[in-house]
Amino acid sequence: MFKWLRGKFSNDLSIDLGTANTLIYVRGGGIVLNEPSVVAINQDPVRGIRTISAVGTDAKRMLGRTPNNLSTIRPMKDGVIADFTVTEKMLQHFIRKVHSRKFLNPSPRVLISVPCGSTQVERRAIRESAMGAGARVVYLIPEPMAAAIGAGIPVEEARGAMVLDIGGGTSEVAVISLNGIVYAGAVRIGGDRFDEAIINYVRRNFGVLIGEPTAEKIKHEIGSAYPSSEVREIEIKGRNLAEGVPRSFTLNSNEILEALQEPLSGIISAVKMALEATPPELAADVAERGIVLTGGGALMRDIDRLITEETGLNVVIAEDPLTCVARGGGRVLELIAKDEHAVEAFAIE
Amino acid sequence: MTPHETTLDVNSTAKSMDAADTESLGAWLTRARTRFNAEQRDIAHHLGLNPSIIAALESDDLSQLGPPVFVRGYLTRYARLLGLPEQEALERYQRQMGTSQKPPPLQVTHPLRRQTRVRDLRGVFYLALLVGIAWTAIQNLNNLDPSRLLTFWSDGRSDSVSRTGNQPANTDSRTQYPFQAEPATTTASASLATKEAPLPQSSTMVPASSNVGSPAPAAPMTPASPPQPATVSPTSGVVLTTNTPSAAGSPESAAGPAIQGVVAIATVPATGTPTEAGGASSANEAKLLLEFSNDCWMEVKDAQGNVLANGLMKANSAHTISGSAPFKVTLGNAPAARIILDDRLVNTDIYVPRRGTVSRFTLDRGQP
Repeated sequence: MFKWLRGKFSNDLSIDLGTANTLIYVRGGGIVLNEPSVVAINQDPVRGIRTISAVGTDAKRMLGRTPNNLSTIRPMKDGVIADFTVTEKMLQHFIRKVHSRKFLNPSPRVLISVPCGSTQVERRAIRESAMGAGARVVYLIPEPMAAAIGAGIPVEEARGAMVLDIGGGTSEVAVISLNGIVYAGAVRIGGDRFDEAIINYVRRNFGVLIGEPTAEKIKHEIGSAYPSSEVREIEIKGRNLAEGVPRSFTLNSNEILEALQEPLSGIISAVKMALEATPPELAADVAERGIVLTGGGALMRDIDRLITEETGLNVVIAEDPLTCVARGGGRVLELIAKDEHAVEAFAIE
Repeated sequence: MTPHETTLDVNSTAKSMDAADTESLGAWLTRARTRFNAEQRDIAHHLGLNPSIIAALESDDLSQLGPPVFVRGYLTRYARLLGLPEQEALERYQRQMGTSQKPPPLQVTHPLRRQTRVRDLRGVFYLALLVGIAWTAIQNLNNLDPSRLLTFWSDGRSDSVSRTGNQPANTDSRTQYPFQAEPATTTASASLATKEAPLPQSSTMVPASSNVGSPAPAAPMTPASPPQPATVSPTSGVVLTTNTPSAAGSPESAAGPAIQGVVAIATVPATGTPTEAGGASSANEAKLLLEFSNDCWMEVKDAQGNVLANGLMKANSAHTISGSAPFKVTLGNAPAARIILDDRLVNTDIYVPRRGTVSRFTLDRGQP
């Protein structure tokens, strides 16, 4: 109720509702929020009522370290909503957090990036969730389009550009030209699959069980996508499966490279499929300019080199690849504020 | 080495470092490439890039390379190949380009219909036009006369029929509108005013439809007496007498083609009994004689709005109409008409319009 009035006191937001992190760009203010998409839920053992204990960074600290009555949930999975109610609460928390005014509940126009491989049902769930969180108007934009705009690719040109967005849950590759998507493909491989691969590798080869935060730490510190002369090592601790006691051991970058082979090959296959499906004129443009990498996966060491070796194309890592999607959405929002008809472009729904 | 020489060395090193810092990105890359004795073409081949890109990088013609996101990619790979620090290459590029690295604003090409705001107002214009037409129609609703349409339809039909000559023309122009009250008695009296050749008694008149819109044919009428110049039926308020000379000189011709001479026969629907109708109308009863020197469309309504006569009047014909005054007269060719109201000539010149020939006026006793 009174959404229009509340909208006058709200800022338009571009939200990158990612599997791993949620980023919010405020129109005219840049990136104002970058927090993990994690929610800690407290369940009353007597009455059975569930309440939100923490959201974002605070909840991520609790990940894997919670007592019985507390559970940490990642409401997004593979780029789409896995828990509708928790996602709504999380969005509501983030939207209120970026609005300093407390007098009225914010009711902003929101642009949310969605995986291009998501179904209509999944998109509707995201839209409903944002509306439930207080959004006045919800626009949905495909993630590769937002990523391309955020990376600074001139999407309005009649020239093809390929963008590969490696996110937490999905990797999406798209060929973009004339403000539209010519080809889009997505694989459910992302940072989470990398972590999972590392956990499995460590359990299989060392007989040690490690948690998701530890796997993520290994990935960040010594993860590499291409063999390098420089071998880096990290000492980690986990629970030995045979002895049942915590043990410490050392992993090196070559071992992690071996662990990541399967998910990496899945991403390479997606890129090759996209190249095969690209019309010849656009393929020529892509061959001349190269592939632009965005998303958190682009920060993995030598991933550009791997794709270059596999495809023979120039690969460019966008500036600040983690925030490309949110920034791209923000630029689109700024355009919509000037020209309402801009919602008809950029494959916005 | 003397201290002086050492100082010189330090100075020269510092100078060379300053020079390296101040040299352009292209010069820096060129210097690094020449150290390896590599040609631009070799580098391009090795990186899988177009040689023009390498040339543009080394000549600091960075604007030719497109958006910064791609230039950064070229630079990173080139620097990596030459063993140069990638970060430094990017920093040099950033210094050189300054603030122009900000991506240009997004552009959306709208369809043509979006390009002008004037075109968006077309809907409003059409709506206003529609409202205007509707308003005009409402204002002139009382003046609308569907009889004209029916008359045209009737005339066209009779013309086409008479052209074929197979059957007599339906010349009865009495109209019964849907919104009018059903007449108590509908009598169609037709008489043929032929001075030279009166119709024989035995001749059967071809039925003239008493209602133009009615598809049902009227029953054939047989005149009971020899034809008279004008016959007034008890229920008939108006008798039109046509003085058109008929070519019918024989009974055969009188039965069919002679009817063509009848131009209009109108019967005023009686609202009550004949006595009542006669008594009510006798107070303001007037007689109108119209003579036409040329073809003229005519419509006459009495004071109650009943259509006494309408239809196309032939040249050199005269028509007598009686009814309650005032009469509302519409003439399609006013200059060709001569009107006598109760044996008094009406000055029709004042009713002739300035433009066109159609005139509408009301005739009453006492008017000039």
